[in-house]
Amino acid sequence: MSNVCGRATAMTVLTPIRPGRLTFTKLGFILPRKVPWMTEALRKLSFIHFARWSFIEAIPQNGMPQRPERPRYAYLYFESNFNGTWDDYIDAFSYIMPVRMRLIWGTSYGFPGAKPVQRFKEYITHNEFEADHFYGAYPEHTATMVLNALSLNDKFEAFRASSANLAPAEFAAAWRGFVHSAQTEL
Amino acid sequence: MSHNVLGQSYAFLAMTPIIAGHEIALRTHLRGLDGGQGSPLAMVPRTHFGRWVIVPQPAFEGAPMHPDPWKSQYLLFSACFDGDLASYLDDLCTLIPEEADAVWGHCAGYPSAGTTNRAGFARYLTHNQIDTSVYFSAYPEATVQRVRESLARRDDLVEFTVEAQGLDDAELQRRFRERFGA
Repeated sequence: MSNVCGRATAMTVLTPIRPGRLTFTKLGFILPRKVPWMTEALRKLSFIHFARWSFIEAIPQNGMPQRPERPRYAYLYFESNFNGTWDDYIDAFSYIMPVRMRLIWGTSYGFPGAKPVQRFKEYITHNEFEADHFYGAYPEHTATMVLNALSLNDKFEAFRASSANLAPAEFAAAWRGFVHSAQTEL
Repeated sequence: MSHNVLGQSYAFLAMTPIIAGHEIALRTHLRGLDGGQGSPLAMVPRTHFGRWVIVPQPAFEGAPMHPDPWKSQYLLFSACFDGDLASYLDDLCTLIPEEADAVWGHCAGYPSAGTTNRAGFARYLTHNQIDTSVYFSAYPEATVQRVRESLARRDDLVEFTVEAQGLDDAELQRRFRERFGA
């Protein structure tokens, strides 16, 4: 299971784009930069640490012994670094952003739509490559745990700075306020 | 249009051709690398996540798609890391030179001097770079160091919160200062 490191899972998917549809696919990627619908949707999938899409329009040439490579199709590369199981991940993707997924993968050959999810899972399995080596720097921590810890640390630093010169009774009251405000992160 | 950068985070992807006949040796090598904190990428501490993936051939979806066989198998290297690309590639040369040579030495066009030729190493990987079109990070401004410190701080705070229950005000403040500084 080299796709797994602690609680983190790697997904790497390469799908062929139909001829003449590359520009349309790219438009689907330009839009979210202006109206961040896609990244907002990804944020809702709170178990994603990092994800990305790239277009492989041409394969870089390095000279012999690499034989000249001229693929017939452009390819859409997708990778995700997430916590949890592969099945849960695909289920959530399919449930939360089915329309967006059609905009992203609808121009790729074989895309069956986000629903029913079983067909979409088969499609991803068919186009997925298992990592031969996968590394995560904090593999036992989920994306939510990281976000909570970062938020808690910000609150803590603010509390520490503001409470530095308080008398014991005031400090204790401020501490209780801090703990109360940080309940969700703790 | 490339969107490799988000906040202080960089998404790098390189696709390098594997020398014909080296595919099995490379896969065996990669699969034999230690995982977790034993991974070579753990020695490059700016790396949040990284992976090597061998792509033998793209999948064939059947008609109306035509078969699109590639002439080489390819090695994908992907990393999400802190800071800029040039210094990261330099870090690979400094921190894991033998490991980098042992991997990319199986790829066509890799400089014969490997990581000892830093400029050549950087040129090779950037020549084979595939730009990112959309990059998402749940915490794009947080470095690996900040993430780790925050996680450790949270553990510390959870422990202290339990310990602090029932202490009088002066003792609470004294222990807080002792543990976290003023």
